[in-house]
Amino acid sequence: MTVKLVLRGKEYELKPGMTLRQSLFKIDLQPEAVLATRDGELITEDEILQDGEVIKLVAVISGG
Amino acid sequence: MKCRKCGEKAVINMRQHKLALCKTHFLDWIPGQTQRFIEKYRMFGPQERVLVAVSGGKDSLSLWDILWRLGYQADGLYIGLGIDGGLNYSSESQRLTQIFAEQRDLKLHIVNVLENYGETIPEMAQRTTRGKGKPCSVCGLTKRHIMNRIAREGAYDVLVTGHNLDDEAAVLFGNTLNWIPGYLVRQGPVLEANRPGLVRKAKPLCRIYEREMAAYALMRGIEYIYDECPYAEGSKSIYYKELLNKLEADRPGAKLSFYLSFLQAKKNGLFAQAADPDIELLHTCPTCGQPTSAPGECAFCRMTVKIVE
Repeated sequence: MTVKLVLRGKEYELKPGMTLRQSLFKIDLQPEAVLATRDGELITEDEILQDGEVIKLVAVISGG
Repeated sequence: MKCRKCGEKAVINMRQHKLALCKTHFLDWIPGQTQRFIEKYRMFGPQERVLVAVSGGKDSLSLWDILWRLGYQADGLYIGLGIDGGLNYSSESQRLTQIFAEQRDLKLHIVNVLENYGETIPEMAQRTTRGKGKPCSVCGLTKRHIMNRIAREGAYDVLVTGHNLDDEAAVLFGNTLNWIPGYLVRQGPVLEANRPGLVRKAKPLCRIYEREMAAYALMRGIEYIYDECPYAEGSKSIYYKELLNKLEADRPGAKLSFYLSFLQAKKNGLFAQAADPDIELLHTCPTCGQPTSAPGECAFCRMTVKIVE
């Protein structure tokens, strides 16, 4: 029973049933700093993540 | 969550605006907002020629795409910095920029630093005290010089960059932490060409969050360089952005409010022009003709070793 979040090749496994926003905080990521996609489509922070899903995260911060 | 405009499934929620939108309405909303800010801050008009500084990243390519969709006469300028970092960073960003321009039949100027000045940015940084430790200062100086040069040579009315709200808020945060009056006086959506040799500069995305710009690039299918510049790791600007994003998570709109309140304070006279020590003392570089804060050659001309053709 896991949801997988993937950011820059790094995988995070979480329990299903939480919202995307809650899941991001759980792995210490700021919701403002990433976008999340499910099957290539962007999803909003209130989406409940289901068992077996793979959510691809896109980092949005750039600078230098 | 549903799109506020049509009730379809939303793909993005902008908490600072209390606005959730579907893909179709978001892709309309971003150019609409950009146009609004171009007009509000009197950046440029539909008849003016615009030069867009493009890096191959999400912000600058998206800005070029938006201006193209809005019908502006916008050409691009890509500066090849010669940064590899094990990622072919510069060559890959140039490739993506060229593909973008070809797909839309847009004119792209390419200036290769190595070919023009004899050294790559990392090489220049190694040779000079300015670049000690990190090449970012050398890179910034070089890009500002080349952008201004190409805009002048091409007789463009305005040079635009893809700085988004997070960029502006991070810079403002840094300048406020250190109370750097000269930089605070100069920061804004438009930098007027108030000295000979300077080209007017504008930032049409200055009120749009970085997250929204990334979403725009993804939804438009713009292929941009996703890897960060190898020298940006651990940079202050990224650290400031992370801090501001923590604040934003608790107080939606905090970043926007910080920037807008600053612009309002400036408009109300909080920062006097006299606080900028360089403004009255600019000289003209005898070599390149661009303004410089001290008599004689500018910092860029002193730094570069030119190839005599």
